[in-house]
Amino acid sequence: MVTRSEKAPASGPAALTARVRLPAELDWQVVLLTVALAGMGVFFSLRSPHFLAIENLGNVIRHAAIIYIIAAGQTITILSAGIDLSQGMVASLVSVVAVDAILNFGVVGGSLIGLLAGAAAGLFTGLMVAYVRVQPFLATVGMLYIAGGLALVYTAGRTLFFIDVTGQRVEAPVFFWLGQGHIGNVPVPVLVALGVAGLLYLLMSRTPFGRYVYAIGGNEEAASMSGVPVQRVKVAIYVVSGICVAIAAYLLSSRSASGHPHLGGFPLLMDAIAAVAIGGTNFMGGEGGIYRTAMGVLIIAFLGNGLNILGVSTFVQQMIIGVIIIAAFWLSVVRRRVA
Amino acid sequence: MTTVEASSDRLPGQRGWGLAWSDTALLAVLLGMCVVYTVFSPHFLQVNNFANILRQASPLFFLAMGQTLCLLAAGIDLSQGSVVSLTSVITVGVMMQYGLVAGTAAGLLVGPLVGLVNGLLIGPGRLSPIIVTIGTLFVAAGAALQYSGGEPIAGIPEDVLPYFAWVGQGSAGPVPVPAIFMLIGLALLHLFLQRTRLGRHIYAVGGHPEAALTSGIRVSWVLVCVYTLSGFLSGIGGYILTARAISGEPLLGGGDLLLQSLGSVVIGGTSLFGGRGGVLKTFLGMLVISLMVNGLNLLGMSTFIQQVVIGGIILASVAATALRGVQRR
Amino acid sequence: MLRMEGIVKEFPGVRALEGVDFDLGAGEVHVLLGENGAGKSTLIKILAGVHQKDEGRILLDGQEVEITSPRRARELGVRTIYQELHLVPQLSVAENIFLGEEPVGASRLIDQKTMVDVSGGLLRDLGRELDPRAPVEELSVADRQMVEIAKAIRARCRVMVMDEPTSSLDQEEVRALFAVIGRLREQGVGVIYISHRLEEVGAIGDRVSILRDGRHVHSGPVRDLTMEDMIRYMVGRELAAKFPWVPREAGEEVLRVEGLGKDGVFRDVSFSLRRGEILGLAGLVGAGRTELARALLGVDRADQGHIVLGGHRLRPRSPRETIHRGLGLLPEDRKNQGVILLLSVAANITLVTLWRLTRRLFLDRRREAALPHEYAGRLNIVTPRLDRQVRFLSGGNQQKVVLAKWLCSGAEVLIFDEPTRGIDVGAKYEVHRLMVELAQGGAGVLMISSELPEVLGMSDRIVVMREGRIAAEFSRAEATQEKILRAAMLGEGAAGAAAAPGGKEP
Repeated sequence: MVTRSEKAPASGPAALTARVRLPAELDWQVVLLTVALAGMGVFFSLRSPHFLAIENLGNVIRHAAIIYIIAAGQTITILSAGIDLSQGMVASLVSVVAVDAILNFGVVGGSLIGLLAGAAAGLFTGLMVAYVRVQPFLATVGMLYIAGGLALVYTAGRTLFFIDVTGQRVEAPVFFWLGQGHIGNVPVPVLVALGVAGLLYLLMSRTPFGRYVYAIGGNEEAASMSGVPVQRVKVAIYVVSGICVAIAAYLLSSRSASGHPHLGGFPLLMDAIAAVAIGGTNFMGGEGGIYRTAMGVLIIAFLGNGLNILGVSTFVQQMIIGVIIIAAFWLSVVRRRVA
Repeated sequence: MTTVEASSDRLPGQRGWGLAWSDTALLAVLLGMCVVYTVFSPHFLQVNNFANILRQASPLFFLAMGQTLCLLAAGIDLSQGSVVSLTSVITVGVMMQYGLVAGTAAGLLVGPLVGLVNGLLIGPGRLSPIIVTIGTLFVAAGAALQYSGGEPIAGIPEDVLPYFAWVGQGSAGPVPVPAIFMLIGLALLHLFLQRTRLGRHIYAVGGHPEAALTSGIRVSWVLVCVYTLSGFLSGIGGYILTARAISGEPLLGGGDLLLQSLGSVVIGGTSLFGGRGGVLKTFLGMLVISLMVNGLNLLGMSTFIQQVVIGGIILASVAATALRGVQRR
Repeated sequence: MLRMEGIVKEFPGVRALEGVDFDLGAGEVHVLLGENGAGKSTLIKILAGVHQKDEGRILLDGQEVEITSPRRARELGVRTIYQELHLVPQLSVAENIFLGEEPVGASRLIDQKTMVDVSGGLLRDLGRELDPRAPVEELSVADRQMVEIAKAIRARCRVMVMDEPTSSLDQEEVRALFAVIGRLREQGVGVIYISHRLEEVGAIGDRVSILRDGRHVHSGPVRDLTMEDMIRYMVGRELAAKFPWVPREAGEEVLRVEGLGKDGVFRDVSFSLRRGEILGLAGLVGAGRTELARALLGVDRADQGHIVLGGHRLRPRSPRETIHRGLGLLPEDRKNQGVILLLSVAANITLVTLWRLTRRLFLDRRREAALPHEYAGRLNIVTPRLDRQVRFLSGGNQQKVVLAKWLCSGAEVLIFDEPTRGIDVGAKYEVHRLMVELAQGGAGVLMISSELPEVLGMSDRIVVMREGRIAAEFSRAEATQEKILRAAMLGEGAAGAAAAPGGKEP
């Protein structure tokens, strides 16, 4: 065979980051995803006039944006052949901590504390995974219970509304605007999501960190033997996931104008994982990306919305999502074995 | 060339899961569950409770069998629930107009037709099983809703009713009719997988698709067969379920049936890595799930909690195996 | 009997076969030679129906045939033994041997008894007693290869293709295989034989054809060619010496190992390595050499002793410690430890040195893109694109990627663990040449190898390990195969000549 290394693209990430290259399988998948999305759109808009209403679409996209932020963090975890099952509960925890802090310290202080809470949860998980060598699955399940429990304990099960001790409403317009406002026609959460996506994109494809994540997911031992600081990277991964969760929880709390110990929970987690799964990121690590996850999120969001409009119970929806997750998880295993 | 080498590169035996879920362990789990339930509820150890369990498990059985075939061939069938729904409405709908035989024939045709579509897209079409069967899931579900106008179809004629109902509700002595079908099905399917060419080829296609191809096996054709069979089996499950409900339910398969089907296969230990496992294992897994549901019911737990429990176990099992796979690298 | 004319095959980005002709007579053993990437695999896969030719004709007994699928190939009488062992791990030996052609009884059920009996018989003929009912996944690699062979010879055929059938077999098993080939010959079967072991060519071949870069370069009777000729055709250049060794000045000490030990694995290992030196580490498999290498890198922790690396005295606790100080390891298990298969060639090459390519937290993309180019070019890594995943590269090229990675990181002490295992002749030579270049450039090279010719041909000094301890040291001048082997098997100073296993002198 002739050496053609001279002709390889000389520029940027395209030349260096391995895109998944299973032509028959995955390129088709991206096409199929787009078609599925379009098909769903057509199907639902035919079945109900409400679907295409601007208000409805706006709502869906707003919600999708928030899910994307979490799903992006999850994607990074999964890329490293790990997983973060604590995301839902950490969201609840951040929600109550942040709102409480805002009520007590004002918007700026409160927001920072909320973010810190998410990062701290991620840090703890990361340390467990990287240094204590607990399986990510187990570590994040543990974190899940801890965070969920903390959230309940913190508020004694109550929901935190924006009323202070005297029963007066507390105004926090900036806070509310973040979750509920618009800039032009675009909901603010969407802009936040885009911002997060942009930052994460930079992180993943323009820094060594991103490369290390793929390396660790691809083959942790080889990565370690090539000098990749595996432990530090792993801790960072979970911290990033925690921060993403914090941001999303923040926006969710803003939308519902309350700190809710049951804010996230399983539905949120499952939506995020399902989005990653549908997007095609392989659960065994090393293949995929946050761009595909975006597609996955759109599909999940519109799916949920359409099914809602059609009157399908959320219960059934959850089942469908659960099945999808299982299926994708399993398929990851099969694909990796065959490859 | 004098290379001095000790050639001892035995690869670790891959018996499906590893120690925790071998078949004996599964039986132990089943026995354990029986013991626990007996302690907690006096109703558990009664004959008609067991008969009930078997009756309720039969539709699940057929779905789980179909799913087993798909998983053995390194695929998956997510459209099973919708096939059940569609079978249900078409069976009753046609039966109302044209009688028992026509209704049965039409209903049992639905499954293989949907399966055929799946098979063609996945085999010769080379598309991903997840995406294809999600697609047919929607299409079939939608078709069922359309056909029935969103409402259950009731009104099977009086002269037909008793025969149809017998399939789902009847008993031969203490043994429910569906259970008889179940046992016959189990025997036939086991024989099929172990002793026919196609059965062996299914294992090969799932275990090492390239080897299968170069050994002259028509992989596409095998896949078409697998999914058609899965559809057919799902249809049978739907038929039995409809015979119990004696009305055409457009959302019959929309609940946790698919989850339980997958759960049965996964817990039973079939082939998360493809090519290993079988109907007997799935049968055990199905029993575990059925017992769990039955027991939780007797204990008064809500269906929601049941879902969470089952879903959690499945997820944990899948994750554990996948993680172990990562370790093995 | 078989004739392939003007076969052309193109894959995206690569022209694998360029008008290749090949013919095979009945009862003939025709050896197909060529470096990895020369097109041998592609050619036989076309014959086996796995790939479709783009141009050209295939004629069987004068009739033109279209081999559209593996099934068709089998129908036409072409059977193949694959290098990568096409066996279904979960199925039994007998089931694999009969895969796709299971015997059925009157009831349309598989006739288990026949399958088991015939399989047992076949394996016995091959000199192997295996339980036909055992699942293949429980067998050793050598046994699996036997099953693969049994599978192919089970039914009558006209053309038998064997792709590296002896790679995991020992001497006796190879003899058994050759006996089988002899029988096939008598039956009038034409055998196409692919192997990297040049000695086998002479032993079994009637004719040999050589491919290079997708072109047919030479065909002729085996007895008309020496091994040198064959190599020359394969690589297209004169190999002046088998090994590109040149004498060098050795500089200052760059690595010193002092009493390193790991409980239960190795003990009391001390040696030193100087700049510009190639130190060969010989010994039997299991002597502890790879474990030593891992301890040197810091992947596994030693229990006693120290190393002195770059002037620092340490007992490495993590690879980062040693890599930082200029150490690099090309592991024995290239695929699972040397490269990250899912990452691109370029990403693999820059992996170690990534942190140095950043400016203010972000990667300097221009430099990051330029480096892989440079090293891929220097090492002549064959790949259509640098962003191709490494898993698609041949073994030899994968090894070059590993080497490029360490060169790129500026490592000054390089440990090569079985550097040329599973690599074709041409790539082997290149790797050796690069090793010498490295040493000339001032690096210290520790070469672990089980191939005695390689050890003798490349090393300046040789250390022999046996059962976890150093058994002997030789200089290049005084070392011989016998001495090394004796030390490796019996320890230094063992009386009497140890019989060196047979094998021609290279």
